[in-house]
Amino acid sequence: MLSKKVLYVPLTYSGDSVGFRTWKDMGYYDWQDRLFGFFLEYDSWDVTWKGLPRSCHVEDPWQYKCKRNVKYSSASLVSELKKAEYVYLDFASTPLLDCVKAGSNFLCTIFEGQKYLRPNVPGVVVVKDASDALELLFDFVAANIKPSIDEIVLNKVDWKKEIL
Amino acid sequence: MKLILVESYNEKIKDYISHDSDVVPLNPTASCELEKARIVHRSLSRHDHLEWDDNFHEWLETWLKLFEFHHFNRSNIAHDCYAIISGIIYNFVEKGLVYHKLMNNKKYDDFLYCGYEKQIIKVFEPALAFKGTGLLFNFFCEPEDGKEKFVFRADNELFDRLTPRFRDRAYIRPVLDYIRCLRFLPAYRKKKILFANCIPSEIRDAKLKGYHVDVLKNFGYMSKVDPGLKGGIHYSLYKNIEDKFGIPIHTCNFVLDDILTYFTYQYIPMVGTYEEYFDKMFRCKKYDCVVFRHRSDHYHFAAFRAAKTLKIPTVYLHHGWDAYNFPFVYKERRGVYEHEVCLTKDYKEFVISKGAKHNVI
Repeated sequence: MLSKKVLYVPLTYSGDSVGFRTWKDMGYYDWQDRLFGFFLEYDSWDVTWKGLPRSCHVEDPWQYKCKRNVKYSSASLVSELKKAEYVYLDFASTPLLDCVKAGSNFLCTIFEGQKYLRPNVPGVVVVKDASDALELLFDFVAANIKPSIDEIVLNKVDWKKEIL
Repeated sequence: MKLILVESYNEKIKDYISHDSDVVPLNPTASCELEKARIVHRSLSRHDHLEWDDNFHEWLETWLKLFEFHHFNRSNIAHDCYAIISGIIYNFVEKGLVYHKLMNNKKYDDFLYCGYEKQIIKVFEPALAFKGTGLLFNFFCEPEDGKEKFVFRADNELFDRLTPRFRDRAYIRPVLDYIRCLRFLPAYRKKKILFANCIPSEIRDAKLKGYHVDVLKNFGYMSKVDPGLKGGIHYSLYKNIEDKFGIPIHTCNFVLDDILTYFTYQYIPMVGTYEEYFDKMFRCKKYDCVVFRHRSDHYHFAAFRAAKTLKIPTVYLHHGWDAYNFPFVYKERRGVYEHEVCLTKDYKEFVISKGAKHNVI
């Protein structure tokens, strides 16, 4: 029986768009592939994979890949937030703001190598690698444990290198 | 050993795969398509990329000053359009580095590239030109006269995907609540405010809250290059890229020249034309303040410049998640506004800590 309703809201791919990016598309896709495998392992979780917007520069491959307990959804974020018990985000962008505003139970992780986030962003956990992120995600969904402020690996990113 | 790079999957690729070939998808869609076709592939590894971001902006800024000095001595339009030009060069350099890294890999003695136009192109030498919509495509294709060489934005075909509708645009906007930000500007209540980028529902909300607002018409994108334009003026930049990143001058010339020529001779003059238009419009309508969320199109730049000329106060409204720390943002893009409205106290402190000289609210 499916019990835990999890919503995953991904970041968009950038393709050849003119602009700066924090993730390289393929690197992000590889991470998502791992995350997808992780979701499939826990088949008692009812996972919703939020679809990318039409304006995304790259076609969303996950609309073809989602299967079993992982369902692809192109419904609005607001309607998905209403249904979800646990929301997982892997980047601090607008959906995170939506989660905060909507009072959702969310976990947001970013990787150490991702620059361009200011230090001490509230609600965001900096993790070393994919294993760390998945471990936190498991704790979050399985036991509703969110990392306390002491456990958050803040300031590990070398902010001093940033200009200004 | 053969390296097959796949930007867009084509069934013909199967004919070229042998036991000694390495198939590498260049984007998530290609990866998914290869997976569906059950073709064994590997991703670009960390070693296929280079860590080069750190000094890029510093280098770019230095170069941009040179660019301005040479071409726009009496104007700073190029500087206002910093985000666009830096994005173009950033993407070029990034793709160029990946390309050269792959080409210089001694493991491979033959290369195949499967591009967006469903063609498979054998790479005999790094023959470079614009063709197709993928930037990397340009590094692989032979030049072909008489065809459009440059696509500034992905064309409609690329956008017309099966992907779902825009992510909740109508739902997200109220959550962001731009209009509420205006409460920080009480001095402008009952005065005439122009939104450079806004949607009708926001205008309605603002009007209901007692603001006298107007919105700038969307003048659309500029995406076509006049084929009659000739470049060849950016040698110093290409030399600089070669020295700094090792991408040969002739490569830069093939790939970048059209876009930079377009930028220099078409885009920037157009900003000037719109600026004159807005100058007249602002004088006539007598706005008290012009509010921006972003400046990404030629008419935004023009409106901004016209407002500055007429000394109309400009405001930047933060949107989305106030979490970013782009090094170039504070110096080049935010510092130019009279007021900057932050959504949170936390972020306001952060902006001030960055040495903001304007009014941070």
